[in-house]
Amino acid sequence: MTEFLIHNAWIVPILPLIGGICAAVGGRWLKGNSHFPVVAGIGLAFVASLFLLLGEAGHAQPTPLGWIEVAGLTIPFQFRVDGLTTMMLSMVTFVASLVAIFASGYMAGDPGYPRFFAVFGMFVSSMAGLVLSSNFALTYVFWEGVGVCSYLLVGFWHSKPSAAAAAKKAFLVNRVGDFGFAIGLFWLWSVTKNHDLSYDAVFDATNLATIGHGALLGITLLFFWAATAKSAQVPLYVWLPDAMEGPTPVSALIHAATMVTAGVYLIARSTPMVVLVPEVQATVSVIGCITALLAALIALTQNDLKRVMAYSTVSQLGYMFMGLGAGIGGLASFAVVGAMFHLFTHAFFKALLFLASGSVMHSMGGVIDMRRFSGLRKKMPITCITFAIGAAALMGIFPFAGFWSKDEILAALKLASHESEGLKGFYPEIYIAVYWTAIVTAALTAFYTGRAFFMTFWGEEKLPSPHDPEADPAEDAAHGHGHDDGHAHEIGHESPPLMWIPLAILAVCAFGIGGLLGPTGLFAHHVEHTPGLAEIEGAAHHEFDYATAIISSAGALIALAVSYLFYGRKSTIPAQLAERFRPAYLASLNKFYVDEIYAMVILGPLKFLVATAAFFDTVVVDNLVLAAAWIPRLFGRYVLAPFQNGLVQFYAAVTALSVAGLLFVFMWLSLS
Amino acid sequence: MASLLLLTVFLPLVGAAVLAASPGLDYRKARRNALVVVLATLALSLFLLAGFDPDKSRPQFGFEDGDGSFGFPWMGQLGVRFALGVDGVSLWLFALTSLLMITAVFSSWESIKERAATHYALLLSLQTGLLGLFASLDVVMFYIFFEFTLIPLFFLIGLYGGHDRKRASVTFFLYTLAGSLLTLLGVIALVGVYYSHTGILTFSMPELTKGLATLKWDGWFEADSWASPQVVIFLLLFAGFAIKVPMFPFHTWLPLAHVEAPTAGSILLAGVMLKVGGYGLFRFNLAMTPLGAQFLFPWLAALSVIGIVYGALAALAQTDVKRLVAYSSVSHMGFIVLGLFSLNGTGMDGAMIQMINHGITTGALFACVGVFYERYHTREMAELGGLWNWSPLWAFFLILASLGSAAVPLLNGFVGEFPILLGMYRRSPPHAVIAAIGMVLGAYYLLWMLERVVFGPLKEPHVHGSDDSASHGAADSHGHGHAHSHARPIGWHEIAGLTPLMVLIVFIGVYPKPFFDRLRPATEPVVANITAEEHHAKATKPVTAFARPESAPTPPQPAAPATNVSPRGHSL
Repeated sequence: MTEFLIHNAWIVPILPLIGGICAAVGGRWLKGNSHFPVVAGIGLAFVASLFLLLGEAGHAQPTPLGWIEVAGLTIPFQFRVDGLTTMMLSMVTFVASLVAIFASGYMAGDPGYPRFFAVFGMFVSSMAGLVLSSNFALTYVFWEGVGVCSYLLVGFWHSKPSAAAAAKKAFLVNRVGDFGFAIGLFWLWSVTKNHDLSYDAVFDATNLATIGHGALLGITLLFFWAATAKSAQVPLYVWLPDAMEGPTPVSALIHAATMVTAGVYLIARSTPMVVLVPEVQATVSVIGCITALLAALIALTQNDLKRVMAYSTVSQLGYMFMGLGAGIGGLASFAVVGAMFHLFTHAFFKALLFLASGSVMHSMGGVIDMRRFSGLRKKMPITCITFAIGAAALMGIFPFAGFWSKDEILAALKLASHESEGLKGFYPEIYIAVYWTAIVTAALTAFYTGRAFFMTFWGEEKLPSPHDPEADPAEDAAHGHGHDDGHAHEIGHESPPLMWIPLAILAVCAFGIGGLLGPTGLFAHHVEHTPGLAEIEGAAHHEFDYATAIISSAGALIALAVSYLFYGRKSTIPAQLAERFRPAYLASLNKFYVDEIYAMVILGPLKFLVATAAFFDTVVVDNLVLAAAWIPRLFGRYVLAPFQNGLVQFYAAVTALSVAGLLFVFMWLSLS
Repeated sequence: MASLLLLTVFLPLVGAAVLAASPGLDYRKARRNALVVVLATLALSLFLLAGFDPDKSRPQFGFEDGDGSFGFPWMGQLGVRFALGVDGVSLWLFALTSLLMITAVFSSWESIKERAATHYALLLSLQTGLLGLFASLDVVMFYIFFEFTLIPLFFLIGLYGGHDRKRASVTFFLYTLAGSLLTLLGVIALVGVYYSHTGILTFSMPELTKGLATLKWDGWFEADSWASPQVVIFLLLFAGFAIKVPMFPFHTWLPLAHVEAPTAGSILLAGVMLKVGGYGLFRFNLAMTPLGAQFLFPWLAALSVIGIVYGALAALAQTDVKRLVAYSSVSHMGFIVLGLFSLNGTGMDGAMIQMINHGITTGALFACVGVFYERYHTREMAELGGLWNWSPLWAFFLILASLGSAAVPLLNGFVGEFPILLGMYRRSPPHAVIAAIGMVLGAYYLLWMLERVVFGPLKEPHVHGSDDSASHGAADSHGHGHAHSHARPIGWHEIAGLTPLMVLIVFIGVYPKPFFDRLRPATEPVVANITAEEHHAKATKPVTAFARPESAPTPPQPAAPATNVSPRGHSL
C-alpha cells in the first residue's frame, strides 16, 4: 500500500480535486450535502498522506508525467515524497479535513454552499500539489493555483463590494510577488545545467558550484520577493488582513494554516541555495523581524477579532522567516527545522483560533467587532476553552505547542549571532537585534492575544444589539452568511457539535503536539532527512536553551497579566493610554497608514500612467495616423498632379526613364 | 484527404452562396442553415485534425505532384499554383477558425434578426477566406485570401455595427488595405529575388522558404544596414502584418472596429483575424527573411514590449467593457509577437500556441460581453454591476475566460505565456522582465473588470426588450442588491457557443501536449533556418551588430537542450 502510494503520489492531490468537481457538478442535486464528496476526498487524502508520512524512508520520486514540452523548456508533473513533503502534506490534509467538517456546519444554509466546497476541494488539491512538487516550475504552477482558489474564496460573497475588492487585492499583490518568482525561474533556468528545473538537478552540488554568487543572490532574493507576497511579509503583506472578508473557515485554512505558509515552505525548500548566500539569509531574518513587530503593533488596537488574528498570522509568519534566515553556516539544518516546526504548530493553533472566532461570529449573527460583545464564557463554554488553549499556544506558554516551536526559533537566532561573528563582512549585531525584537514581539503577542480573549469571553455578558454606539447596520447585514438559515435567529448559543468537535480536536493538538514532537526530536528527525537539508553539515538538535525560554516566557506571562488588568475587568487604563499616546494609538489603529501610503506611492503614479496612455492613444497616436493618411493626399497634390500636365512628350519621357530605371534595378539585383 | 481539405475550405462559401441567393429568408431559417454549415465544416476540420500526422514537418493534405510540388498549375506560365495544405502551425489556426465560427453563429442567434441571411452569408464567406488563408501554400493564393477576408468583415461592421459603424468600417478597411499593399510589394520582391538568382519563377511558399535559405547570393545574407535586401523586404512584409496583429503604434483601428462590430464580427476579428498577422510574420518574415528580423530585433522587441505594457495601461483606462477587451488584445498580441521575435524555439512554440489560446479566450470574452450587451444595450461598466446575480453560469464563463486570459497556470494562457517570456529571456532578459510587468497589469485590468461587472450588488440599466421591464422600470433596480433580474436568462444557444471554449481553456491548460507535439515539427525548421543563417552571416561577416552571443555555443537546432527527464519519452 505504502509503496504503491509513494509511486503514485499524485493520488493525494487528485482526491480532493475529484471531491471538488463532484460538488461543482452535482451541487445542483446535492445542495446541502455538497460537502460530502469534498470531506470524503480530503479525508482520504489525509489517510493517504499518513501512509506516506509513516512509510517514507529517504525520498522517492514517482515517474514524471509530461506537461509543457517545447524547445528548450520541459515542465513535467513531477512529484516527490520526502520528509518535508510528507510533514506538510499530513498537516495540510489534517487541518483541511477538520476545517471542511467545521464549514459544513458554519456554511449551512448559504446559497453558495456547493460552490464553497467545490473551490475548497480545488484549494486543498493545489496545496497538496504545491508541497508534493519536485520541480520549481511546477511549484510555481500550484503556487498560483492556490492563489486563484484564494481569490475565489475571498470573493465568495460576491455581492459584497468589500469582498470583491479584497479578492482582487489579494490576487494582484500576489501577482506582484509571482512576477519575481517568474523572473527568478527564468534566471535559474538559464544558469542550471541542462536547463532542468527539478529540485534534484538544481540542488546538485556540482550544479550549485557552477552558479555564480551574483546569480544565486539574485535568484534567491527574487524567490524571497515571491515569498513576501504569498506569506504576507513586508512590503507585500497588505492583502492578508483584507482577505478576512472571506468566510471564516477560509481564513482558518487558507489565510492562517496552509497557503500563507507556502512562502516559508519555498524558502525552506530552497535552503541548499539560500545557505550559499548569507546576505540573503540576513535579509530574510530582518524582513521577518520587521514584519513580526509591525504586525504585532497593529494587532494591539484592532477591534475586529478576525483582524487581530490576521495580523497575528502575519506576525507569526515573520517569526518563521526570522528562523529561516538564522540558518547560517552549520546552523542551517537546526534553523530551518525550527522554522518548519513553528509552521507546523502554528497551523494547528491558528486554525483553532480562527475557527473559534468563527464560532463566535456564527453565534453573534455575523458580528465580529469585539466592542459589541463580551463575557461569552458562560454562553459558549466550549468555544471559550478551546480559544483559551489556542491563545496559550500562540502566546508561547509552557507546555503548549507554540512554546516549543517559538523557542527553537529564538534559540536559533541566538546561536546565529555567535555563528556570524566569524563571517567576514557580516554583522553579528543583526541577529542580536533580531533576537531581542523577537522577544519583545513575543510579549506583544501575549498582550494582544490576551486582550482579544478577555474582551470576548470575560467581563459582563453582553450580546450585540442594533442599539450599540458602534453598531453599523450595513456592517451587520454585510458580514457573514444568510440570516435566514434558522440558527442565526437566536443570538448567543454554543455552536453545534459539527463545529465544536473539530475545535476540540484542534485544541488537543494545540496543547500537546509541540511537547510531543519537539523535545523528543521526532519532528526534527523526520524533516532533517529531506534531501538538500540532510547534506548540510551541522546537527538539527541543539541543547535546550533555558535562558531564552525563561526570558520569553516571563515576558509573555507579564504581558498576559497586563492584558488581564486592562481588559479582564472594568478598567479605564486602555482609554487613558490611548488618549495619552494618541498619535501612536491612531497610527496602530489605522495600520500605520500603509494602505494609504501604497495608494499614494504606487496606485497614484499608475493612475497617472493610465491616464497618459489613454490620452496618448486618443490624441497622439490617432492624429499621427491621420497625419500619415494625409501624406498620400499631399503626395497626389504636389507630386503626382504636376505630372498630369497633358504633354505627350513628357509622358513618353517618363515612360522611357521608368523602363530604364526598372532595367537597372533588375540588372543590379542579378549582378550583385 | 486532399480533396477533404479542399471541401472544408470551400464548403462555407457554398453555404454563403446559398444564403446570399435568398436574402429575404427568415432569420430562424437562416441561422439554422448557417449552423448546419459551420457544424459540418467543424466536423470536417476535426476529421482532418484526427488524420494529421504529427511527426511530419511538411504540409499535409495537399495534392502533391511526383516532383514534390504542391497543388496544380493555376495561372499557367506565371508559375502560380493552386496549392492547399496544412502543417502543424496552420492546422491549429484552421481548427480554431472552424470552432470560433460556432460561437459566432450562436452569438448572432437572437441578436441578428434583420437581414439575417446576408449576415450569415458574410460570416460564412469570411470563414472560407480565413480557412483558405491558413491552408494556402502559394503566395498568390495566400494574398488573395488575405485581401478577401477584408470584404465580408467590412460589410459585417458597416451593415450590422453600432452607431459609428461607417467610420469604423472605412478606417478598418483602409488601414489594413494600406498595410497589405506594402506586404504585396514585399512578397513580389521575395519572388523576384528568388527568380533573379535561380531563374525559377515560383510562388510556392515551401519552395521559396527553402530556396531563399540556401540562395547563392552572399548579399542576401548580409543584413547589417537598413538598406540590406533582407531588412528592406522584412519591413515591407512587416507593414501589413504588423497592422493586422496589431502592433503598437498601428493599433488604433482595433478598438474602434471592435466597439462598432457586431458580436460575431468581434469574435472572428479578435479570435482569428489578428492571428493572420502573427501567422504572416511567422510564415514570411521569420521563415523567409530571418536576418532582417535579427537586424531589427531591438526595434521589434521594443515595439512588442511597448505594446504589451501600453495596451494594458490603456485597457485600465477604459469604461466600456468591449473597448477594454479590445485593448487587452493589443497587450496579449504583444506577447505573441514578442515570442516570435525571440527567434528561438521556446518563444516561437509559445507564441504559436498562444495564438490559439488568445483566439479562444478573447473569443469567449467577446461572446460573454455580447451576451449582456444584447440584454442591456450598454457596455459601460458604470451602468452595470453584480451580474453574477443575473446569471451565475454566465459569471462562471466570464471568470474562467478572464483567468485563462490572465495566464493562470493549468488554464490555457499560461502554457503560452510562460514559454514566450522564457524565450525572450534567453535572448534579452530586460525585455522579458518588462514584458512580465504586463502579466501583472493584465491580471489587474481583467480582475478590475470582473469586480465591476460580475461582483457587487446587482445593478442593471433599464432593460430593453424583456417581458416585464416596462412596468418595473429602472428606478428600483438601481443600486440595490436585487436577487432577481428583469433580464432574459442566458439561453441554450449562448451556453452551447461558450461551452466548447471553456472546455478548451481547461484542456489546453492541463494537457497541451497534443498541441505542442504538432506545432514543434512546423516551428523547428524555421528556428533551424534562423540559427543557420545567423551562423552563415557570422561566417561571411565576423561582426554582427545585434547578434547577442548565446551564453553557451548551442547546436544549430532544435536548440532544445534535453533535460534529465527525457523530454519526449513519456506521455500522459
